[in-house]
Amino acid sequence: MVAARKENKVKEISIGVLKHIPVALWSIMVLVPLLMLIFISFKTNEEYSHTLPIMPPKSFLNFSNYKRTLIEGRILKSFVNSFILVISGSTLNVLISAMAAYCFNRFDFFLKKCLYSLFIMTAIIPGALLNVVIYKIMNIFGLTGTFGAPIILYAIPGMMQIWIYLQFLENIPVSLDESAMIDGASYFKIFTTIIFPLLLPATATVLITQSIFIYNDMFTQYLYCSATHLQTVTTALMAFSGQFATTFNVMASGCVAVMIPTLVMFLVLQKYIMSGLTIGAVKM
Amino acid sequence: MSYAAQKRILLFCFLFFPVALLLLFLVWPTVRMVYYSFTNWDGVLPEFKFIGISNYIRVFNEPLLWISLKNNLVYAVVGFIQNIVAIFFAVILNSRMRGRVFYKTVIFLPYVLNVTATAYMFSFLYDYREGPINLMMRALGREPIKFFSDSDIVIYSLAFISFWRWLGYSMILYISALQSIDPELYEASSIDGANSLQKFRFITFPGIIRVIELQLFLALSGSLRAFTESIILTKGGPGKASYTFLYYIIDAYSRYNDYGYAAAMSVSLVIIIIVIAGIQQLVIRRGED
Repeated sequence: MVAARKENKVKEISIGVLKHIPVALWSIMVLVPLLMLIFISFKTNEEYSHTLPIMPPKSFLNFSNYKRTLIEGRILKSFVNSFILVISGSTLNVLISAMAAYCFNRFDFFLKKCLYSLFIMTAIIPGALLNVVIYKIMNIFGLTGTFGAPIILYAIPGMMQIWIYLQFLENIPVSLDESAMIDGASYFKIFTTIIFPLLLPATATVLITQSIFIYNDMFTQYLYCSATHLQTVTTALMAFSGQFATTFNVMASGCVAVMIPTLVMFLVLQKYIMSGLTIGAVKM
Repeated sequence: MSYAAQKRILLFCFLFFPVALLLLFLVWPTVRMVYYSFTNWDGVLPEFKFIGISNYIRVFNEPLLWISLKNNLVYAVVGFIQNIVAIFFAVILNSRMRGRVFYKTVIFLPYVLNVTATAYMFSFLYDYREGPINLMMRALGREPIKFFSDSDIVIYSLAFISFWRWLGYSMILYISALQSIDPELYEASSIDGANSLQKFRFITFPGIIRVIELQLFLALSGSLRAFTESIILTKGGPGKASYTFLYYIIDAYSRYNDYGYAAAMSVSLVIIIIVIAGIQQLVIRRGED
């Protein structure tokens, strides 16, 4: 009896250890490349060509590569542009999505289904395909060569954002609206003083995921932000890689610098980010 | 003001911007794209001719298109494997173990990192002369791998970058799906003497089938849209070995001004995505009955 229990215990422990192997291996696959990248970014040219990539640099205070990428490579300047896109794009996106979702959740109206299926279309048709026509439309409005074009494209509400808001709206009882109506509040007032504040968790989620998306997005910025004064971190890095392709230690410092903002955001707001993705997908 | 009148004004104000944006930047471009796909427009000059379905005939007779599609298929297969690994990891990390949060955080991490910076990081890892992988191969006395210059390998090198990036994302979705399964089901089945494989087949799998469905659609349609890594790292090369469907379309209109043809390919791509979604629905619905 005791022996059997002991055997069970041994079996349990060995399974417990075995479980670690695959996830630990993959964690190494994730972390080691990033560590090497950070190490290399602090190495001088001399050091880079004579030491193994996995060896830490002599000094973590050698910022000469960072000086080159951030200042000569204009990456420091491009952060400002990226933040302009992230902040205006995601804010507009949140406002428009919340208002649209409110209408879909609380009212019945002519063509409702039809309008709703428009939002589903955004999930099916790849935006990259439409860009030749979109580029011409942007041109007509005089928006190419400005931040107007990418900001408008990022403001368009997608299926995911509408879904997240609809999930939250369903959990806000209609009786709240009704009691406010008895007090004579207008629909607009109900939305701004009751509904929108209650949607705050959804707004945080959409804001964060949309910010990460915009910051990382390549194609729209590649099309509309390649001119020097419009360069975002993505396009600056692409331009920079052409100049400094041969010395990877310099390039590495650019990559590390560009990775930092979303990395910090992720470590601070981890819970929101993970739960946000989940709401958008699992509860469909 | 009466609530009926208010409602009308509110709906107009709140829906005007989203609907206007979608009409202008989604519906109208789609309509134009279908229209141009029947013409020989070059994307620049005002005059063009209607040429019927000949663009579409060209689409299916172009050898490069099949090379591109084959590359998309590689992405799809890699995406499929990614989902299996993600489910495996999710099942592990959903059980009680030390360091769960750490593993979850680390494995999810690549998803938030800048796509372009990540791609350049891989271009270093894959480097023929100085890349750590090939340094290791040489130290082990093996042939170094030509990750980017071997036309048989290049697409796998690129697809792996997307695997590395998305694995944690899928895993997180599966973990939360697993958490929504009622633990009492497992207890009850233990009492009935079910083994772990049976538990997975009859409890876990049905519990996460909706997420699997969504993930497979995302993996498939995502694989048809793959082009980021090709644009940043290989420009479709060596030769045309890392062309993907979308890269080919972008190339056709931006480099060759072959707009009508690019439009025909775009329409075909959207149709393929819709058909895949439909087939998947059918297969999975049938599987459930």
